[in-house]
Amino acid sequence: MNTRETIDRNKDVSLIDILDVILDKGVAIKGDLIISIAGVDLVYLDLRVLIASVETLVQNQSGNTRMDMTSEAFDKQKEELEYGSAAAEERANPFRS
Amino acid sequence: MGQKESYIYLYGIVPVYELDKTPFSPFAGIDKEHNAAIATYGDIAAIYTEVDAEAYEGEALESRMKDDLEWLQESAMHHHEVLLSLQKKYTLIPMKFCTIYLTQDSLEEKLREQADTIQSLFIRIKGSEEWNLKIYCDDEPLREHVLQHSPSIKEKMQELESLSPGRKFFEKRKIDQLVEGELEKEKNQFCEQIHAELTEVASEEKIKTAWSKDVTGRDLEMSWNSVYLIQADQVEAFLNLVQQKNEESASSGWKFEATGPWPAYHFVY
Repeated sequence: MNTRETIDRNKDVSLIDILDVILDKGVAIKGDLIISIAGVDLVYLDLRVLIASVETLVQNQSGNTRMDMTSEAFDKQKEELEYGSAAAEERANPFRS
Repeated sequence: MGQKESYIYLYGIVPVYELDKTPFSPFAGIDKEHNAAIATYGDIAAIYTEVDAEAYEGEALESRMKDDLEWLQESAMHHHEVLLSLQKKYTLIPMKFCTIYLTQDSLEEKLREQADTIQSLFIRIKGSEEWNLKIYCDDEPLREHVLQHSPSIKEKMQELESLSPGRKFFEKRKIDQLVEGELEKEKNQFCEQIHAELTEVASEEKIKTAWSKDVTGRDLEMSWNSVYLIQADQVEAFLNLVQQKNEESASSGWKFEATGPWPAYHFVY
């Protein structure tokens, strides 16, 4: 077996890895685009910290089962997210230019 | 669907001629209501799905990103998985999450305007794969190494013995700071050296920010985070090198993690 096959390519790919690239990288051809990427980035900074905790939850789920957070955990994360977004907003960077 | 207005959610663009070899097969779009489709403009093919305008309009989308974590997670995964599967079949220029156009006309206009850039991006990434490398480090063995092997630190440690308890305390703290500084230097040098060797196998590279433990949620510190664009026939050599370096340095506390192939997210500017 070659190295390529021995490395489990998906094992270490986490949600945070994915968000890191899809929110930040890739091309957005600006034009008649309705979404300001700046707006997404604004949420993104604080998401990073939040996602880490979500990630732990996800990893604890087995295999392909859909994430099934307890409502308590979800509320807590939502709270953190709201807190995080508020902090981000203070740093400004308006959603609409 | 009826009278509902819809927008165009763009996943990515691929060269038209590749569709002859590997025909496009539709899949369920991000909202699960519409199927993904393909639109061709000259040599460029856009893979998109329609989305309900009301739900994907700026403010609605912004608030969902903030408030609906489950939606964000599911949609982000969907976007990524779609790109992963497209990338296996085509030379793909991936779009950011939620790249949305008001109408097909505005998308077409944009693609035609950018046609030259898009063609050169196709050339740049064709036949290549993006791989990510993260290097983690257990500081303890390295710190020990620094303590044992740095002559200046060794000397200072010896001097400590002859000092009064008060002075000793302060001098010890200074030494600790020195050790931390040396440790960081060692770590950077190590990672930069690895990066230089990997860069020789890759066609392009980018150094990213290493994430804090808050983000990774791991015990080990992330010391390095970088991405490489690698010719398909060089990937094996790249991974072998990563594995070899990992084996050589594991006993000193290093841990390498390579992931891929990713859509060429970092190399499509």
